[in-house]
Amino acid sequence: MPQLLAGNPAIAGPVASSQESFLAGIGGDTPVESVLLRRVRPGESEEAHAAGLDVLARCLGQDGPTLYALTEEAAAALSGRVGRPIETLPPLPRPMGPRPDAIWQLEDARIHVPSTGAQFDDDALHWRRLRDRATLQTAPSAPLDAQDVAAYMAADAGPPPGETGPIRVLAVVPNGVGLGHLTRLLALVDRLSARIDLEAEFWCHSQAAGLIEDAGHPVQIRPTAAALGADPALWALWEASDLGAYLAAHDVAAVLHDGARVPPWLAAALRTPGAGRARMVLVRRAMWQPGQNLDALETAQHAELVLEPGELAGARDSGATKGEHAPSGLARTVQTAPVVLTRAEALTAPGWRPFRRPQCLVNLGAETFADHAALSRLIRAAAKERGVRLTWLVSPLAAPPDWEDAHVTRLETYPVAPALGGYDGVITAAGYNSYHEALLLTDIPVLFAPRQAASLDDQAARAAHAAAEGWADMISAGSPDAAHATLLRFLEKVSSRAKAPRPDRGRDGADEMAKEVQRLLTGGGDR
Amino acid sequence: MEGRPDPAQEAELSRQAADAYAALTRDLDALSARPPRVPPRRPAKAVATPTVLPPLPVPLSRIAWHPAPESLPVLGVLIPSVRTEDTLPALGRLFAAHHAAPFARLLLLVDTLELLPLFGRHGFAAARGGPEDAAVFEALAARHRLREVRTLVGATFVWRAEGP
Repeated sequence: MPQLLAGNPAIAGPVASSQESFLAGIGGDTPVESVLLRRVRPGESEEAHAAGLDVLARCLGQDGPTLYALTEEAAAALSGRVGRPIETLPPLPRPMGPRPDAIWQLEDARIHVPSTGAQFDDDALHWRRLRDRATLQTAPSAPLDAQDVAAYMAADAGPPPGETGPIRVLAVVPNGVGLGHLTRLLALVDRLSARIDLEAEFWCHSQAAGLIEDAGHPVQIRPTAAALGADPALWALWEASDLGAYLAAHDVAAVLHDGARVPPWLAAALRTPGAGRARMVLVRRAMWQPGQNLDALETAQHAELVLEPGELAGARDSGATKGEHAPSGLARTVQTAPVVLTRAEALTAPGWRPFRRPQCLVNLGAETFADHAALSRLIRAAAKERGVRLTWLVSPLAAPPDWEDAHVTRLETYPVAPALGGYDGVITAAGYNSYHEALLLTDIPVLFAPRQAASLDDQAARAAHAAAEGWADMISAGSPDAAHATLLRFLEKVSSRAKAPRPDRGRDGADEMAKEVQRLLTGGGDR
Repeated sequence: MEGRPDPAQEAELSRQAADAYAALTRDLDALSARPPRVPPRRPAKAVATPTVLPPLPVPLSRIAWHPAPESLPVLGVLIPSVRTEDTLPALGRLFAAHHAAPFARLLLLVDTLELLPLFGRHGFAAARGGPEDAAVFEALAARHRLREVRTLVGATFVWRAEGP
């Protein structure tokens, strides 16, 4: 309800969304100029409601804030109790687009969607977003306040202001171990900008924000609680407050977030009074570790659209997103083809032929895992034995390696995909982007060195699937002798520049995601 | 001082800071071998920061140790938007002084983001800021208790918070 009030152009100044919130705020720094009086709410007794109004009447006196009620009937009923005139709250502008056909039920502070069986908390979404999707109904026996809310939501004051200029989106990048979240969001924004007049900005918790800047997008750099040594609860309040203020000031049409969940601070920001109409799109990669993130599925109730980038190894996915789960809130879940940032035409760019052959690219990802150093030594020793030169990809997030090797060249580049075809083979971790780029954008030999940690996706399952399909080999630093033998066999393939079988690249998953977002924002389909 | 570690713990913390400082020095050396990155400048929109929340801390960094870091003021250091031949030596001098005898908690104000990963790896906080951004400094004063801003090269005074 606070969201509807602050989104109401007829009300200026600080506003309390109920008599209770007004009383709780007495003595605060900011004087309230308007109070919305409510009738009996779910779980509230008639006696408690009447007592609250009596206290309010004594506190208000004859001056003080302007009083409002949601309907004429409520205004008439409440004014006698507080002894002051009460105005009817002016209606909101008409929702964007045609009036929605759907009818949803508001019951016991939950919203039920009869057509799908979905339900979600009544404060999960900004209520102006709800108005764009459905008409709310309540049972005749529902508490009076619920009936007032439904009546108010059904009324409108006329058409909204017309849409002009580019559509503005904000991509929220979490602080991942690697670059997966950032890369998928860049891919989505890249393809979306080809479909609509788009103005994208990034809200970035990753230290790799410079990569977004390089791609030409403005970036808000947002240190994490851990980076600041801050209390996570206080940090979350700052994020919610700052992001809510940003959304209120800049008329954002959609927030795009890549992660397992919609974080609580992000959901709170979207509900901020005045944050308006921003839709929530969650890009949720699959292949979670079995048993991980089980509580994250429910947070999709804060989104309108959940996009699941396709997985070549989906048959081996045993994570929580794979199971049957009830639809959550408004979210429509769409699975696309695999998503890679680099477009096919960029793969023909010249300039990535290393001078000394055979040469293998090594891309082990973030160096935050215990087996990294051991694996690094194994690879360098085997390459030396086979006479294969190595190009060692240095993550933009990582410090330079603390070793020197005459057979190794270092390379820092992003995205990696345009460089892959210039090499005779690649040894890579099996994170989402590395895996799909290596298999979909090259035909050189690939050796996966999966990193398995609870905080990561199920890289071992991905690598095992590729090995079983004959697309790639895999290695584990856990058994050095076996790893050494596997490396030697793989480097023979590199030396002979053997072509490897590959899955069909098929559709562009990033463009499929963009098409869904376009449909959400404009109602349009394919161009 | 209450809560101060015993001498053995202090020695260990100082040793860890010395190791971290050595790693930072290697990092700066590696960076100096690369040409500066010149990104397209796309200013981000201003974020209106409310003042009702308690401020967030600014860490001391990993390269220094102090028995009561929260007692040190927060100093904003303006980093040039494009790295010049002066930038890394000036950073080296600043970090050397900070390691030897920390005098402030440093909030590194960047206009472009090339150095952000380096700062993050070594435990420094960074924020957006340029020399004309008085409104940004005011916001950072509310968010992080920023007291003063100086340039990296030459330590020229730029801005100071009003009040105590």
